[in-house]
Amino acid sequence: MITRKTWKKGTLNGFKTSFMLLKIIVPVFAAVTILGHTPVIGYISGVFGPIMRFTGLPGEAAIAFVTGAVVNIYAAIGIIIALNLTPWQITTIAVMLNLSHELVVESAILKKTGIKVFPIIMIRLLSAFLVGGAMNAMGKLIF
Amino acid sequence: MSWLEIAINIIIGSGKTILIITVILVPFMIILELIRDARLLDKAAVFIIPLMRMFSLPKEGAFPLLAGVLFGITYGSGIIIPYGRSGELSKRDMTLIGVFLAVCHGMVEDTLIFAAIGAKWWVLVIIRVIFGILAISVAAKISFLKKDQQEKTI
Repeated sequence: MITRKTWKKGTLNGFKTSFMLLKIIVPVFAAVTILGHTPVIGYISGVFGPIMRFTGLPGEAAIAFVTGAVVNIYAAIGIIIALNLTPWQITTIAVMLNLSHELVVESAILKKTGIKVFPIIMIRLLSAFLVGGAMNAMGKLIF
Repeated sequence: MSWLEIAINIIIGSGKTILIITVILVPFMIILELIRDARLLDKAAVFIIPLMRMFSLPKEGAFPLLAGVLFGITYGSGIIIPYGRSGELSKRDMTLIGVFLAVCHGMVEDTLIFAAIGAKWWVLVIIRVIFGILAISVAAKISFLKKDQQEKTI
């Protein structure tokens, strides 16, 4: 039954989630912005550059991918908006993160249903990089 | 760049994103509650049963599948876990649903949030659905997951 409570709960949930995001995105964005003025980002970028080049993303995007895969999408978003990515690069990392995010929490939940999670984590990581590579190739064709 | 400029950059940069996300998220959460309270999920489940038959999944799986696709694994878990445990679905069925959901879940929220920071939303949806179907097709072919050899969970 839809009552006034339904609307209230939805609105409240929306603002609650946004507030939760604020607590994640702001510090992450701040940390990455400040790190951007130090050599740290350049160093990380150099290490992950070769792996990420396959997806057409800069090395520092690896920080966003790892954060999203382990923690959650919102922390990754704080990083993505701090990097200067093209719209296609944002779409690429978005697809990769959509396939592979919050692996720890979500796998724990799926495990509770009694299924094996290791193959599922592999499917998610593998598909993320496959798609990342495919989108890089596609991006080169389009643009 | 001075510290003041960096601070302003942080406030504007993250503030803009939070604002866009809030504008998208609040109506979305209201719609989710409306769907939940109007029990629309039960009704919508009917529409995906023919699709599920392609993978010889029973109609009991429609509800947890739809809940995961729409609400996400974390939100939908309240529905998904009891189904996994009830034994209503075989281990084979639950695994197939799990494989699909691992790739395709929280389709509305995840898509909207990335669209808010400039990603092309249709690319996100199309690629996830393709991979979800691919993953479930491959899983359905694996011998120990074949319909005739299923065992009940717990």
